[in-house]
Formats: sequence, structure tokens, C-alpha cells
Amino acid sequence: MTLLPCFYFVELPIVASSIVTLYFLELTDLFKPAKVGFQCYDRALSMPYVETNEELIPLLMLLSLAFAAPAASIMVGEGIVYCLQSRLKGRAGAEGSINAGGCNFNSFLRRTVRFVGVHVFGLCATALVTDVIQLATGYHAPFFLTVCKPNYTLLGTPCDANPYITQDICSGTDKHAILSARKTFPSQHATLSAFAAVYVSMYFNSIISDSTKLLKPILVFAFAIAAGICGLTQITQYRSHPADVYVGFLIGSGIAAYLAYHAVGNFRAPMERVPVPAPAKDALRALTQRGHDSVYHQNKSVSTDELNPQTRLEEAARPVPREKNSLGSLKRASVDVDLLAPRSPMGKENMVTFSNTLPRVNTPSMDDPARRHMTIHVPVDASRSKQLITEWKQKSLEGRSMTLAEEAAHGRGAGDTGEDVPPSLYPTVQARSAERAAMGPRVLIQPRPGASQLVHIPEESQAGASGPAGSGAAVRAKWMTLLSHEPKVEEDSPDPQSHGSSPSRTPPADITGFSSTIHILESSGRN
Amino acid sequence: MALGNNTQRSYSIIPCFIFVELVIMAGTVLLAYYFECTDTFQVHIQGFFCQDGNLMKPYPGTEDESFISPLVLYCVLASTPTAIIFIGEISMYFIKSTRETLIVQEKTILTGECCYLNPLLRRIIRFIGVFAFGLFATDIFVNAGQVVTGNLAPYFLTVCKPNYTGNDCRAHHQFINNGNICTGDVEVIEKARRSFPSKHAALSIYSALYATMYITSTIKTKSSRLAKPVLCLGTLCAAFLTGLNRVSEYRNHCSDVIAGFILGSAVALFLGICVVHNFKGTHGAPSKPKPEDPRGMPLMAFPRVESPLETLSAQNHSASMTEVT
Repeated sequence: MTLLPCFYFVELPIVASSIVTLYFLELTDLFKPAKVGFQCYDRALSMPYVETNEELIPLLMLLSLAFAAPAASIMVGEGIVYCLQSRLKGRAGAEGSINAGGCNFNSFLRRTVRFVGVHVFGLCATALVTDVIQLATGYHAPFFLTVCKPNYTLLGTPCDANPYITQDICSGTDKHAILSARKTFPSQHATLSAFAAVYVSMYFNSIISDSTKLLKPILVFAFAIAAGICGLTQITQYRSHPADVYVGFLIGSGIAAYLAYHAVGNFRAPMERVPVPAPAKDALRALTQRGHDSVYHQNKSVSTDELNPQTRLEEAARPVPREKNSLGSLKRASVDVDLLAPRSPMGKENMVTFSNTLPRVNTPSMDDPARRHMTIHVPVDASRSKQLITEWKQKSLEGRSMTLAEEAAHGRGAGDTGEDVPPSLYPTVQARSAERAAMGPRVLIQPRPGASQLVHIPEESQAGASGPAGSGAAVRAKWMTLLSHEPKVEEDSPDPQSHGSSPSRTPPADITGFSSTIHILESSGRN
Repeated sequence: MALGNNTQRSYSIIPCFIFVELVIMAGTVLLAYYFECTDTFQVHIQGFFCQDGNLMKPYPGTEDESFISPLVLYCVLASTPTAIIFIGEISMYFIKSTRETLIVQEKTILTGECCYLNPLLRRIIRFIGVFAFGLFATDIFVNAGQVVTGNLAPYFLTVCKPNYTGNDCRAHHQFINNGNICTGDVEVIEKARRSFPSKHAALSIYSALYATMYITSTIKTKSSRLAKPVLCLGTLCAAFLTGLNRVSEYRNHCSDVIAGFILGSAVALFLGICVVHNFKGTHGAPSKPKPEDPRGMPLMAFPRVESPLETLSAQNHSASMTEVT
């Protein structure tokens, strides 16, 4: 819905203001060029003057060419692209149509307006930059002395002394020609034609596929030759010095390259960047769901005798919400793990602590030796995937917490770990557990700790928890990349103990700070 | 697919080749021919200053008397990259290790029922065709620049032998716009008006740069570390010396040669990077499968797997996932 207002109130005023400024610079003599002197009979400035109407490429023709030819080719190219896209539907759908306030803009219209609009704006900007530099430098054109017809007798000194003349001794009658002779660096023809050529060349370069090898270069070369001729005629008709034209080429192509790369994204569809996070989210959700499902079925199959019927009922009454984003699925996973938690009575309090963080470790029975291997396995994966040291630490912390969870499942250290639970971090779990207030002893534990626990957590775990807790998004992204390494490692090394002896693995040593490290991990993940 | 992994059926490649590439190529060659061999495009008559010292260098004789005669130069610069590409492609195709990567990059195309276009043929045609196109395109660029500017060669006044009597040439700042006061040989004067940019410099640097890019991106030998740099720098040095020779023989100004270098290298870089994509295959590397697919599907299909490895992987992913979120 912001498309139209944004277009009306941002893009159009910018273009309009640049055009108005251009009008003042070009057609009015509001701004005078800087005063620059010259020398007597300067050979570089005494070229013949070609009248404006005798120019090979007059400014008006240049403007229409620099605007019309690229705009026409962009329109034609967009039309072909649109036709091809509608034919190959589903595959090329890079840019959908947008419905803004009842008006339907299809991709052809949007892309054409965008590219041509940026082209127009770029032409205005190039002309503006050229005018400003011309006025600021005020260099003389090669025909300056011809139209100026300086009256050297007005000088105090004879011309044999080769003085540098800064006085206005022009005796020519054509004031307009004299004024235009003082605006030459850089050449306007060169900047505009180079801008148009480079812009449309980059358009061709990104739009024409590789199936035809010679179509792209022939179009690009055609525009390049046209631009080169536009600039070179300025030299041969003595309108500009060669340096003006070359600098003009550089300025024009620089502006065009900047606009094409950063204003229209190299003519690719702007949606291209959006799908990159979207599959990541999908993968995240799928993985969470999948892991949750597997564990869920596992637990049901292994031991469900300790689930009290009330929990069962509640579970049946509250269907798992199939939310679309990953956070929702995560909530669901943790809640379901909460439900499953009473299965192991020895670590009940710890279940509350860990179930938010590590449901997969806690919920299966810890007797299986393979799962103990598993708990050691995770830091090995981290060392394998060659990540940064900070995430490394976090991963080792995870491994530490896992092994400690295992210990906690055996009944050691159950009391002090429960104290560290900050329930304010987990509002959903708290709410759910609050409605189940009468069910288990863990509810008595949950409201106990305060939110200030988070403050002294780093003190508790100074040994390993120096990782940045605030960079949650970055950590998440890196974990996503980490995940892609994991199955290969598992396939490669069915025996994780062999990796346990690798030097990069951190042994689970810090027992007292383990629950707080979990909190750090969680807070860093959720922030 | 019955055709095999690396075979692709395409009926459009031959018509596309004939009706697009060949037409463009023919147009380019025709335009270059008109520029070179006919006087369809008249040179712009450029004026000059009286007694301009820059244009009064001695006449070095016709082009054939040059140290690098045009015929030899054109033959060398057209044949050297062609030979390099030919040898390189054939050796790549017949050496086993490079052949595998080549076949992965490039597909055999079956067109019609009979004709197989294997990667070797396709690559050779593509690279040499683009090279030839670029050669003609550079020639067109150079000729267009020369015709439009009509810049005067350093020996122009020597061969022009201007008749100053009609003009008052007392002062050196007098600019003579009327170019028809020459009394010398018309053909030589015509040649002397085509100086900017230097054709020799542009063509030689284009050819050398194209060959260099091909060598750099294609030949990957671990055994010899110096062969590749020597080859590349040798060709580039030859092109550079060709341009310098033009200046030292007073056939071109320094700026002409520099402009020719810039022009030729721009064309070569554009063709090498944007058109043939650094001499890689058109399809690129096969896209990797989605990372979550291989591990995800069996877990979804068999949630009750009792194998410790499967449960391990399930725990692993879910544990790390919850850590992430």
C-alpha cells in the first residue's frame, strides 16, 4: 500500500527538483561561471567556432537520443521479458504484480517505470553534475579566443611578455557564445551519452541470456560506438578539449554504473533478496517440526506410563497450533516437551529448566549409550565446521549443558539448578505451567527465581560464556550454516568417541554454571 | 532420461545459431569490410595549425615498410589466439582429469536425430567465434574513431606539403580549417588523416588480452608454475611493443596508441567476462541439492526408527535447532 504514496511523495519530487535545478543552471544565467584567465594567442583556445545550428550533434538531438534510444530499448526488452515470463509461468515469476489502492501494477509496468524513471533521473543528475562542474571550473573552450576577439590593446602590458590575462577584454558581440565558451569542462555531450550508453549496456548485460552469444555484444557495441561518436564530434568540431570529453566519459559512466548497481539492483528483480531468508525460515520450521515429531513419537513409544491422565487430557484438548513462523513452532515444541516431562521423575525440576532449551536431550531416556554419545557429539560438530571462536564457545557450552543435563537426570545437583530459572524469559511456558498449577511440583519452582538472575549469570560462567549474548540473529544464521554440516559428519563418523579425543573439543567441566549458560544461550537466541 | 546424464536435446540451437549469430557476424564483417576496403565513409577533414611541430615528423614510408608490416601483424594476431584456443580445448578434452570437469560444465546437445554437438565442438566454436567477432568489432570501433575524428598523423604536414600562399601564415597560432591546401599524394594524405586511435595497438592488445584471459582461466597446471605467466606476459608484451613501435616510427601519436590500448582491452574484457563468462561452461556447476532434503526426508517418513544413528541425528538437529531459536 505504500507504493503509490512513496512514488508520489518521494520519487516524483526528487526528479522534479532535479529538473527545476537543471533548468536554472542550463537556461538562465543565474549562476556565472568562474573567472579563469588565458594567455595571448593561446593556440589551444583559438580554434574556429562552429555555430550552434551547424553542430553535427546539437544538444537537443543529443538529449532526445540519450533519452529516447535507451528508453525505447528498455521498453522493448521489458516487453519481451514479460512475454517470455508469462509464457514460462511459474519459473520466471521474479516479480509479482502489486495491487495498490485498486490499481493493479503488473511486473512489466513496474519494471519499465522503474528502469526508465531511474534513467531519466540519472540523465538529470548527470546534467546537473556536469553543469555544476562546468560553472565551478570555468575553463575555456577551444573556440574561446575566436568568439572573444580579445582587444589586447586594453592590456597594460604588451603581449610579447606573455602575460596571464584575467581582465575581461572580450570585444566579441556574441555574448551567448562567449558564455558557452566558458563552460566546457567536462563536455556535456560526453557525460550524457556515456551515461546513456553505460546504463543501457548494463541493462542489456543483465537481461540478455547466454543462449545467444553475439546479441549482447552487438547491442552494447552499438551504443558504445554511438556514445563515442557523440563525444568525439565535440573534439573534432572544437567544442571541447579532448580532456573534457574523456573526463566526461568517466563521469557519465561512473554515475550510470552507480545507479545501475545501487538504484535498480543491476536490473534484477528486487524480490531476489527476499526469498533468501524465506527458505531459511522454512527450513527452520521444518527442522523444528521434524525433530519435535520424531521425539514426540519416540517418547510415546518408549515410555508413557508416567504421564498422568490429566496431562493427556490437556494435551488432547489443546491441539498443537500449526503456526507459520518458526517461533510458533518452537513454542509448540517446548510446550509439548513440557507435557512429556513428567516421564522421568528424578529430574522434574530440571525438566522445567531444560525443557525450553534442550528438549531432545532430556526427554529421551538417558540409559541409551548411543544418546550419551550424542551429547558429546555436538561440540565435535562445531569443531568440524570451523566456525568462529565465539560460537565455538557457545557450542561447547551446549555440550557442557547436555552432559550436565544427563547428570541431572541421575539426580545430582537437582536443587541448585532449579533456582536459576528466570521465568520471565519464557512467558509462554510460564503461562502454560500456570494453568497447570495443580499438577506437578515444578510449578512451585518456576515462580521462585527473579529476573535479576540474568545479571549475574556472566559472573557464574566467566569461564566459557564470553560469547556475545546480544547477537541473536547472527548466531541463528551461523547455526543454520552449521546445520548443513551435521549430517555429513554423522555419516562420516558413526563413532563419536573417536572425535572426542580431538584437541578442539572442550570437556564438560564447569558444573556450577551450566544452567546459566543455558540461559545465555537462550537469551542470545531469542533476542 | 534416455539420453543420459550429460546429453540434452535441443532443436533450437541450430536455427538460433544460423539466424542470430551468423547474421550478426555477417553484418559485423560487412561493416568492417566497408570501413576497410571502400571509401563509403569519408574521413572528417580536420584543420591544423601553421607549421605545427607535432605534425612535421619525417614520413616513415608506407605501412609495408614498417618494422611490423600490417600483413604479418594481422596474420599473427588472428592466428595466435585461435591456435591457443584450439590446442587448449583439444588437450583439455583428451586429458582425463580436465575432461570430467569439462563434461560436467558442458552438455552434449542432440539436435535433430543425427547430429551430436559435443562439448569440444561447442566450446571451440563459441570461443573462436567470439574472438573473431571481437576482432571485427574492434576494427569497426577503430575505424569509426578514425573516420569521425580525422586526427592527423605525426607525419601529416610532411606528406601534405601545404600551399600556404593563400593563407596568411605569419603567426603560428593561425588555424587552417581548410584542409584542401595539400599538394602531396592524395592516398598518403588520406592515410595520414586516420590516426586516432591506433589500429595496430587496439587489435594487438585485444588479441593478446583475449588469449591471456583464455590461458589464465582455462589452463590449470600444478606442475609448472612459470609456464602460464611467461605465456601471458609474453603475449601482452608483444602487444605492448607493437604499440610502442607505432609511436617510435612516427606513425601515431602517443595518445592514439593509448586510446587504442584502452579500446582493445575494453572490448576484450567485456567479451571475456560478460559474454563467455571467463571461458567457463554456460551451465556452470550443477546446483547443489537443498541441504535439508537428504537428512529430512527419512526422518519424516519413519519417525519411529529405533536405530541409534537415526535417533542421534534427530536429536542432533532438534537440539541445535532449539538452541538456535
